[in-house]
Amino acid sequence: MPEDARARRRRRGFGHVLYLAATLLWLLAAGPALAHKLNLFAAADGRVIRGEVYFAGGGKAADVPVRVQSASGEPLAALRSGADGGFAYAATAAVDHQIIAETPDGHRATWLIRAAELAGAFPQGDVADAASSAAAPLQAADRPALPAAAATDIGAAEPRLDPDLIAAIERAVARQVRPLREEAAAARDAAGFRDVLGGIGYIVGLAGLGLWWQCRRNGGGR
Amino acid sequence: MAHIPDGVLSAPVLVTGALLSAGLLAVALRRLDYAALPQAAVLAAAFFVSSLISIPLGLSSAHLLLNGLMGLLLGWTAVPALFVALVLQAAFFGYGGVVVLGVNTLNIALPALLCAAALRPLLGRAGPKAVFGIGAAAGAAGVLLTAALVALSLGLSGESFWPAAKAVLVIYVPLALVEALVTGTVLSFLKRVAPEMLPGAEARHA
Repeated sequence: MPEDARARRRRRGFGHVLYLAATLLWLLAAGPALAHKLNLFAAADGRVIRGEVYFAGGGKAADVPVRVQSASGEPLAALRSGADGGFAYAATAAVDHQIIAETPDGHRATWLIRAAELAGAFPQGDVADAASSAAAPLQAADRPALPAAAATDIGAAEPRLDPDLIAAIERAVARQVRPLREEAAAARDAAGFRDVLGGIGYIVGLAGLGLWWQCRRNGGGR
Repeated sequence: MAHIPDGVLSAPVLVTGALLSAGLLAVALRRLDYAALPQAAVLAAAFFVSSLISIPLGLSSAHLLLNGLMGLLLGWTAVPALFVALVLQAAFFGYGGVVVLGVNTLNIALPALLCAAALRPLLGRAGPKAVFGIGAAAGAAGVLLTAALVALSLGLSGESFWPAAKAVLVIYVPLALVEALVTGTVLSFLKRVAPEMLPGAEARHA
């Protein structure tokens, strides 16, 4: 009964496929869902840009070269992450900072600190430089007669606050918000169970498509 | 790592990798063995998922590649299987990039093909012990050849070659040992319980 034997063998093969799939799922559930993708998080704390380099899933990336560049690609600093993956850079002006972490074996991650995030720590002239691109067009439309310097004073209607107080508030808010931002970045980078199921679904679908194609070709010849 | 992200490699390396991968894919699709498709899908899924289970190794962390195993079991069919899995990893996990897909496919599929060419013919008449040895050799060779290709891609892109190669090798040598163990175990397991899944055995049954 060769027909029977073949069917039995096929059934057995199917059982092994199931076994393999179950093993995979078990591995996935048991093992830490870490991955080797390099990630970078940074935020301004006053004038200081603090950040950390880590692998997706949470492992710290120690002693990784970190470069700080201006938006135009001009190098500002070359740092290395510490044992906990952390690094710090004292900004000298409120401009866009591009931060790039790159390991020698080809991992790479980037993060952009916008000028607005640093603006609070650079009260006077620096803010005018940094904010002019964003704020000036709006205010020019509102009050075309005002000179640029007056326009950057957040408006005569508001009470004038001490710049030091504003800076302190900015820092406090940044400190409070930082854990949320870190969490959001980590959640974005982590691959979830849904991603895994989606990917496996695609693979099964493609295999099915291939088999259907073969069946169609065979059927056409019959 | 095996998944090189966007923005690391230079344009000539990217173009060469893409062209070579496209060539390999074209050949592989023409020789596609439809009977092997379900097996290829299972292995592609295993490759896809195994990248999530990482092993911390020194400065970096690595995960099983399984390209030696795939080459051994699938032959040319491993190329589309690896390509599909890499596309999905880039799409779902953000591993590697879109532009470097060609280079990454080449770096992982070429060792699989070499393992297939060198070790597949031996599998048919190998005993249970020899099967473990062949699997271990394929696992180690798959990882080490991928490491060499990754180092070469980085070196040709203007990173100073030796630090890159050294960093890559430091990570991959322990991984190669783990991979050899895993691939050998999987193969001897298959030999025991499902010999029809191994190439060569099929020819004897027919």
